[in-house]
Amino acid sequence: MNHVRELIHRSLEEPLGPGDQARMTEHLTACVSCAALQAELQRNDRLLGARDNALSLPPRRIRGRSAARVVGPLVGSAAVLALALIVGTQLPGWRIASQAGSPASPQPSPFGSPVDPRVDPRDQPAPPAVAIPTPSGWPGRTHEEVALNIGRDPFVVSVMRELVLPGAAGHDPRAAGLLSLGVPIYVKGFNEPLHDIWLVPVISNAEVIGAFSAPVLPNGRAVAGSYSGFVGRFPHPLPMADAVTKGSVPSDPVVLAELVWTTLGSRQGIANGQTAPFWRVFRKSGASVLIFSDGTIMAAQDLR
Amino acid sequence: MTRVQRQITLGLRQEGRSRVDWDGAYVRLGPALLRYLGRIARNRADAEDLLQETFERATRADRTLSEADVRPWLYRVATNLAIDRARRGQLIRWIPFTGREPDEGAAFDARADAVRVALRAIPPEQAGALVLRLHEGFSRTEIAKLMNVSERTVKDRLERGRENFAAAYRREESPDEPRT
Repeated sequence: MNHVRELIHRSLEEPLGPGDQARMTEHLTACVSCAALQAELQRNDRLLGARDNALSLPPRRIRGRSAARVVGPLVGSAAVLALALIVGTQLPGWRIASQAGSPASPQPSPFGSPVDPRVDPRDQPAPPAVAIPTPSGWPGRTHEEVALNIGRDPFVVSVMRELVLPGAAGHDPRAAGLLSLGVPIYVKGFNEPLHDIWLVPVISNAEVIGAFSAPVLPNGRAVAGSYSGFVGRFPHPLPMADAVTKGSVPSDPVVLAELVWTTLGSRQGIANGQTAPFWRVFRKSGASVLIFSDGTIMAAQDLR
Repeated sequence: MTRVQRQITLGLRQEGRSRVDWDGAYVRLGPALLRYLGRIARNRADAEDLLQETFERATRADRTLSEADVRPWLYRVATNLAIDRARRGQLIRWIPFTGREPDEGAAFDARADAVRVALRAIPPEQAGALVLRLHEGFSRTEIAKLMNVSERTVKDRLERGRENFAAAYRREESPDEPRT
């Protein structure tokens, strides 16, 4: 490796001394190939440092133990994604936090996850050290933060209690045994001023029976805002690979696919006024199209 | 000791070294570790398998660690397993992997996909060092400890890794160009 090349590499790791910096700068102004190399390596460092989208965490495999009980709040992608989203017409619609009997004062939930709403709080496991939920929410920038905190959100705790309580307004007959919260899915707001949200599925007996929606506030905090019963494939009837295929045309393949949400009308296969995620895919040309749960495709600019 | 007892113990003794709550660590650190392994492993299934093996080893080892040591220790185990598996893979010549399997749980991003493919095309020790440094934010000193090598070796791996990655990524960007 020649001296300048070595300096370029070193500059990626640490600031150079004034002498080396001057030598490198002088050389780069005169040498096109070294300047191109530096630009390429800097770009590659940015690419390598870019955050990937969160991968869904599989259930922890424990030899000789039931993984589902051990994993607690996270249920594996394979199981969860094989299950289906929802939006059932006979199921409760979205319930909003302020209507759901959450505690008047936002005391920290005594529950860690998994939450067993039938058990007296004093008998629940001691929670791990996590943020205490407040009216302004809990840290919700990352998949990990959501997984750690949403099980302690007072609204979530109160809804999960009702889900398993026969006779309660929010009771779901499918909710039996130990409820778990599944892998959080990040869903972008379709347009301003919609917040991006986390969708967190509720699992009972390896079935997604509903999902919490937790908007992400501008300060990076999130708070569970609503709950909806779901049936079907979660988080969208169409797997991402199918959405990519469906959204591509031979001369213009899809290069980016993401889940977005807004309140949709009935013609997108969702009960009028319901909120549900759908795919927004970007083609190589920059054109974007939307793919809804009933398979309808629409140019993004046509959805108002 | 039951899981509940372990959690309580940890809750009270976070300052010092204690038995680690691996269940809690899985929830807390598993997603980031999976992202890391997703970059350097052969495919998504391999990354998940390596993640499971990492935590199985952790559980079996039943180490006493301080809270701050848990993350680097897990990365160390995961990195060693990934490199070891990659070496074995080279020796026994697995069926070629395209590296393009879509991931159900994440948005599809053609550029991120190309990065992963390029990473898999370079020696695993170099790929591991690059991802630990640039994606996971470990210092060179920390990587040296994680990989059980000298800092000089880490420096070499980063330099060679950057050069090799650049060549591999160029091939991904322009697949029709002749390979050198």
